[in-house]
Amino acid sequence: MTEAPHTMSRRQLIRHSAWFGAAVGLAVVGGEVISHVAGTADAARVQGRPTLRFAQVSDSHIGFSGKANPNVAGSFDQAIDRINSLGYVPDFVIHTGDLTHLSTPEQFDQVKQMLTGLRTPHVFTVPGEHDSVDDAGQKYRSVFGAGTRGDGWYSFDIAGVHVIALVNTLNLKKLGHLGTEQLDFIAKDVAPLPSDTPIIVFSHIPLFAMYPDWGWGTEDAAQALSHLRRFSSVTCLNGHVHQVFSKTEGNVTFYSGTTTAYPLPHPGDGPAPKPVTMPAGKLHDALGIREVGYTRGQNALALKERTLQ
Amino acid sequence: MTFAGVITRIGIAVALAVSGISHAYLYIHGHRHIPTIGTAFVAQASVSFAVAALILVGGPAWLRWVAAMLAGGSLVAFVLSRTVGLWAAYLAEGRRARG
Repeated sequence: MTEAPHTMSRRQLIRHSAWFGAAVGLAVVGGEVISHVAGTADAARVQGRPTLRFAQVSDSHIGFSGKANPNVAGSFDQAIDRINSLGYVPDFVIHTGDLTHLSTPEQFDQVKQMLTGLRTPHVFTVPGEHDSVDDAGQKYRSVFGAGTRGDGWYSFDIAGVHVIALVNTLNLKKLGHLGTEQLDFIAKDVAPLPSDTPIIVFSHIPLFAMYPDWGWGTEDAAQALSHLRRFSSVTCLNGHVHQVFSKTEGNVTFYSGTTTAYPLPHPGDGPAPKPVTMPAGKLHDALGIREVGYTRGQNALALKERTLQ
Repeated sequence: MTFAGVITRIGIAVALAVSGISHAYLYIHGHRHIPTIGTAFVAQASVSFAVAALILVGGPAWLRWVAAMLAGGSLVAFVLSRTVGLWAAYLAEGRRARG
């Protein structure tokens, strides 16, 4: 009896098994290499991306009507579109005050509706003096005050950064004012934090003396900042002055943001900070929003000013 | 091995490698985040590379059947993904990419 023609010899079986084993082994190695390359691409992308990215918008003055900007709602809408088209979703958006022009319920309602158009997980606000013209900020707090303390101040932690939002627009004489209750809040709020925690502070009126003759400063800011001296990175962002400006004092850097409504004169340019009417077609160059990025391990925040043009 | 045989081997190996490269590229650039589909893409790519290499160095005839099944399977999966859908998520991904 002869051997069946299709029966595999022992030698052939070993050879085929070897090929099969090689195929499996190579496939596993290939899969590992591809996964590793994918992981490296991911790590590179994460490294290049800031730890925290947010946008600042300010002084929308919803309800203002004047030659300087006959359509503040339209330009605020453009600012919202600008933020929505940054190419990424900011971790949050902060509005640094003067949401409304005259604090009427209709203006608060309108600005709140408009802010819902922002594509971001969180929208934070601080009040401007225009948001508390007749009631010490009660209407503001009824709309935007959920979860805040005292007269509307609060703090939170995000991506390892400690953020403090202050109210310096109540009990004003000429300069911004924080008051003892809020100063106590700041002291207690930062007390447990290690000194290498990056701090970001939001307020409407600048916490530095930008131009005290026009009320562009905060009278008790030095006391507030004394609690922040030990931190290696402190960044204060404000609105109110309707123009971009920055100043560094030791470990603290101040950045005034622009507006989405109408420009104001440069400090000391004229007798008072009255709305400036720009030449035709130039208004949107003076209006804008700000992108802010924080990368872990770097003390300075990266700011990008974007006009509405 | 005849000249025609060598050319055939090289041809099959190159075709498989190209298919593997395109699947690996898609896997690295985003498809790995799609459940099941991501794993299928990396498996397709790594098996394609392995079979292509072995066919090139003179592997047995059944490796060509494996290559044919890989190519046919990938083609069927591609057609399904663009028509009835291979898992809902991937169909949606394809629509987004086209939109």
